[in-house]
Amino acid sequence: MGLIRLTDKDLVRRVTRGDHEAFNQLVRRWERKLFNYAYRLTGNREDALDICQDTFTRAYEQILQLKEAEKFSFWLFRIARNFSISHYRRERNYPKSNSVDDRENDLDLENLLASTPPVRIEGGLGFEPDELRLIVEKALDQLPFEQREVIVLKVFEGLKFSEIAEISDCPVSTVKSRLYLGMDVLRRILSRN
Amino acid sequence: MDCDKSRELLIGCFGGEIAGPEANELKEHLRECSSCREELASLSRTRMLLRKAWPDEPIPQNLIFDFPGPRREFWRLWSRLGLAKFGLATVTVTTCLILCFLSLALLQTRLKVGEGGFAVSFGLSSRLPSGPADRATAITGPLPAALDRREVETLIEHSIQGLEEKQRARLEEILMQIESRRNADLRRIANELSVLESTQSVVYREAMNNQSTVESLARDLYVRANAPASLSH
Repeated sequence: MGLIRLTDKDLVRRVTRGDHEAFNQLVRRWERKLFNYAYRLTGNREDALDICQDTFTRAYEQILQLKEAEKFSFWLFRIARNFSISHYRRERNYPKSNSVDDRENDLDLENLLASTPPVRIEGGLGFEPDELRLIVEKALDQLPFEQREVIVLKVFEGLKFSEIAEISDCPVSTVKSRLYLGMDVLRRILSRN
Repeated sequence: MDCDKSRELLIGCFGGEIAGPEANELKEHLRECSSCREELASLSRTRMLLRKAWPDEPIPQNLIFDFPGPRREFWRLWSRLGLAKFGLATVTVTTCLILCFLSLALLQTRLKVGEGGFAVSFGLSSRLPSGPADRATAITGPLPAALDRREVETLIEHSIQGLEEKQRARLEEILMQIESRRNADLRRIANELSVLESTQSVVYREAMNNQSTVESLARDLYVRANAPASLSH
């Protein structure tokens, strides 16, 4: 369809005129990115999917408040960020209790890292993909939300510092500082022996 | 360039956002400083590990949106106005305003603004000042920001005086009209009486003439009846 070729700006304008199909096109364009962003922030697929659903619903309800249509994606990430923060706080206050199976499958990061030479961990060699994902996920769990968020946006999403600053609502210098601190912590965790 | 300054630029280089003279300075420093070189390499290795360990995943299920019907669309429009949070309060205030307007309409309230003043009236019998005389009783000139009791009393007193003068003038006018009408009626009655009097005198004279004629005829008849028969032929 012709909607695929349209920019976010044009699609947003169509949505404000009541074109539902244009909004579905925006959803199709950004749902995967947004899901992975939320997944890396929360570490849980179901929660990430819920955040995606809530984010698009909120975006549809408030799309008239979007002043610069060309910045739709940053605005979307910002909404998702707010939902993720709410989720993060809720999880900190009321952590989900793991089932018996989960506890059995849970990874003892300390033991795993202690028994593994740092060079091999840094290269990711000698680990199964799921195992490696779990190590990284646990390492990211050690970071404050702000540092984790910046790492997700820079390392995984490849955004510019200025774009991250817009999403995180902070100066570029703060973004750089958070990125450096977060990467430093991750490097030390993943290099531990 | 020292290592502290280099660390500041390293993160920009790590993010792929360093250019110009800073890039050249960092490049020069990295060529000489193995510690900073190792720092940058370590950061890059960590990034590679993160990306390798947690690649993008497809979304487990595509998101489905059912778009709102007319009722939900109404509430969406409501929320567009930023009133969703205060929905109940807004509905209450709106209802009160509607009731106020209805009450004003039922009382036939009239508000007239102009020439720096205004007048409000209620009810069927009220009449807004329109003519020069009425304007004299209305509040004119710029309305003061606040009136004290004395000023209000003065204004009311002036209004009452104006009304009394107007009523007095109207009463005098009505009395004069009544007087002139009474005089005209008296003149008309006098005329009619004189006509009646003259008519009555004519009728009397005619009656007297008729009576004398009848008497002379009666006398002639009597004479003829009592005369001798030869005379009667």
